[in-house]
Amino acid sequence: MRKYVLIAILLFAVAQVAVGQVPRLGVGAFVGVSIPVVQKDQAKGSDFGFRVRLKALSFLVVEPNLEFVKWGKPGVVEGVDLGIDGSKVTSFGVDVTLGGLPGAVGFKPFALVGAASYKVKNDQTGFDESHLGYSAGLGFIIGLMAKIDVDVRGKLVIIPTTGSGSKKAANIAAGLNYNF
Amino acid sequence: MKTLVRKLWLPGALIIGLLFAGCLLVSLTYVIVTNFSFTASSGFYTQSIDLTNNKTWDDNKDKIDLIDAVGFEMTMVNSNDEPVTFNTYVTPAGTAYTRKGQLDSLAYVIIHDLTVEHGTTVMTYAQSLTHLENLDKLKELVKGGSFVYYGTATSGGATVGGFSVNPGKIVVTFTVTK
Repeated sequence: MRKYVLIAILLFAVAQVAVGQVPRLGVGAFVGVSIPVVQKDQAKGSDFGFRVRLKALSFLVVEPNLEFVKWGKPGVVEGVDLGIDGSKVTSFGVDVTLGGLPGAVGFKPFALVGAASYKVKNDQTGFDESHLGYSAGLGFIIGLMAKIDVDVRGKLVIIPTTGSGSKKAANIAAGLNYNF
Repeated sequence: MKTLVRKLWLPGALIIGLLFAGCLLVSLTYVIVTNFSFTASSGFYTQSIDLTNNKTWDDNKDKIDLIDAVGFEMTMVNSNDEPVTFNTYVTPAGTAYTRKGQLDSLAYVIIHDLTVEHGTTVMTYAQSLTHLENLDKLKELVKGGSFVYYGTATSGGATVGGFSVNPGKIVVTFTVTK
């Protein structure tokens, strides 16, 4: 699945060059928390990552991104202290935001959907799965000036696992974007 | 453009919310704990494990997609003066082996040649994960809901008494789809 996501990113970049467009471009970094949803073996953890923002249409921004999540220790379950670290989730993919355009001052709400190649790994339990997952969420950008945005967003992430199950998490992050 | 965004913002948010509200209902990850103990004193121990005695497992046994992890927490008491070598094995339900030689050739060893010193030793869940072998087979047997758990305590190649596991706990993490 990872290669398809990579191909999608490359195709988008090539398409921009091919049509001679010069998209409004930004780069950003973010930090936040990741809250596992209905996963008794994980706890709230950290989230950070990087994104590129490409204004593709007058109302739409495409965001290739790289994200690192580390869920927390699960603690005591039915009297047993599991004593293990939470799983690590590494992903790279593309989000698309409706609204939240770069380069304008002011409050800019947006909705987003995304797809990414997710790798969920726990070295201690041996859990190691990689799948194409999906996300959707809401956020807002505060354009402090044309080149600097404050970006706050929350998204729900669904990562399919073997069979028809999935791992889910709510990621809430804040960051800064720099627009070229 | 601003008008378009305003028009799309609310329906977009509603669609996303409904999509995820639906998805949130379908998949969960549970952790259950099942107790066991080795109470015999001959150095050869066996215990049938039936996870359906656990209500969470029983309620979800037909919807299990994945066994995420299996581990153990064991309090081991060695009353011999010398260290003993502890091995544990699993087999499908219904076996009734009586000799270590049968286990070595017919069962799946999951803890191999663990040295347990005189006295009380606690193996935590996290520590057990570093000792487990044949993990895929163990997960397969666990997913079936019942299996037989064997243990042997040996010293100098012969089974010895004076060794017990009490309490022992099997910790199973599994994902279900509803």
